[in-house]
Amino acid sequence: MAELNGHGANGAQPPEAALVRSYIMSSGRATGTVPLDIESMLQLTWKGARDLPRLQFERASIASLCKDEILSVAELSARLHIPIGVIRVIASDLIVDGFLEAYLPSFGMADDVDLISRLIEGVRAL
Amino acid sequence: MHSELQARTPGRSPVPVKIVVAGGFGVGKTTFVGSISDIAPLTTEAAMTMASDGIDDRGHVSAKTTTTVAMDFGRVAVDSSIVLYLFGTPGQERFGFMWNDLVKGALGAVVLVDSRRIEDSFPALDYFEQRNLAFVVAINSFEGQLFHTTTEVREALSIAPHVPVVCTDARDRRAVKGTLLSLLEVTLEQAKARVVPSSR
Repeated sequence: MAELNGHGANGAQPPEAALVRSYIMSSGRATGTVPLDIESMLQLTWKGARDLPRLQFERASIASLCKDEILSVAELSARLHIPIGVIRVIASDLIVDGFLEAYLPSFGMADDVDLISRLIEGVRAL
Repeated sequence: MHSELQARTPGRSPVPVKIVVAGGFGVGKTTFVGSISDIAPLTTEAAMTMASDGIDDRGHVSAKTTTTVAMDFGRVAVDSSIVLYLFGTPGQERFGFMWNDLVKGALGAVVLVDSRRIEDSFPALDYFEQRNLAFVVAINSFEGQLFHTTTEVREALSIAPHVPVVCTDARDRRAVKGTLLSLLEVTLEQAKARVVPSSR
């Protein structure tokens, strides 16, 4: 789960600086309280929308992106140039604080005949 | 389901589904993803723990290391609630690798094969076989050319009979759709086979 050893977003920084910065963004933690997968999707809640002006730094960036779109952890990471592991920790905090709502992959999906049938129908119609 | 997290949105809650696209370096994974994705493929960085089983490109023999690798992915709205994410595995063919984070929760995988460099797909095949993840083997044609038949590739890679081997063209949306459908159909068969007849 720990993904904070990666180089940070800013290519101009030496890897060490980016690494330190990643840790600072996530307050030195490697995992969040809510287990988020890379495809877990996030959306701003009414509380998040209300308090958005008061959020700061990466919390604000993540929350703003999730205002009009429901975005995955991976998309947030790509758009904000922040490593996936850091997004996970910060997003997890935002969920716990009630600012974000998460849509997690359905558990036991590989056995879910209805879901897979819907997928087949949907992909055929693409 | 995580109903307490999903209570607020009117209508059906989004359901993310993940499919992994694997294969050797330069086999066309990002092209494959891009042909069907609603968005231009995005790149993100993920940390991977790699148990090195050999010598890296600089001639160093290394122990287990953590490295950052770029990962390309795309997104397809399949219907009003299902969102399909296609993740290209980072190319680390010569190493043992930990794709666990990427593969955890995936519905299945597409292993893209360049039939001129069949051996590049061995690590991915081994990995998915061991993990018992549904997958299809898709031979990508280059410039419309296939250098080997599906039967030849199946034999060369000793692919189990229940695993489909198909031809594809990563640049062509219809071919990519067809490849995903072969995977989904296998997934469906396996799901049906696992369903214990119940009182339903």
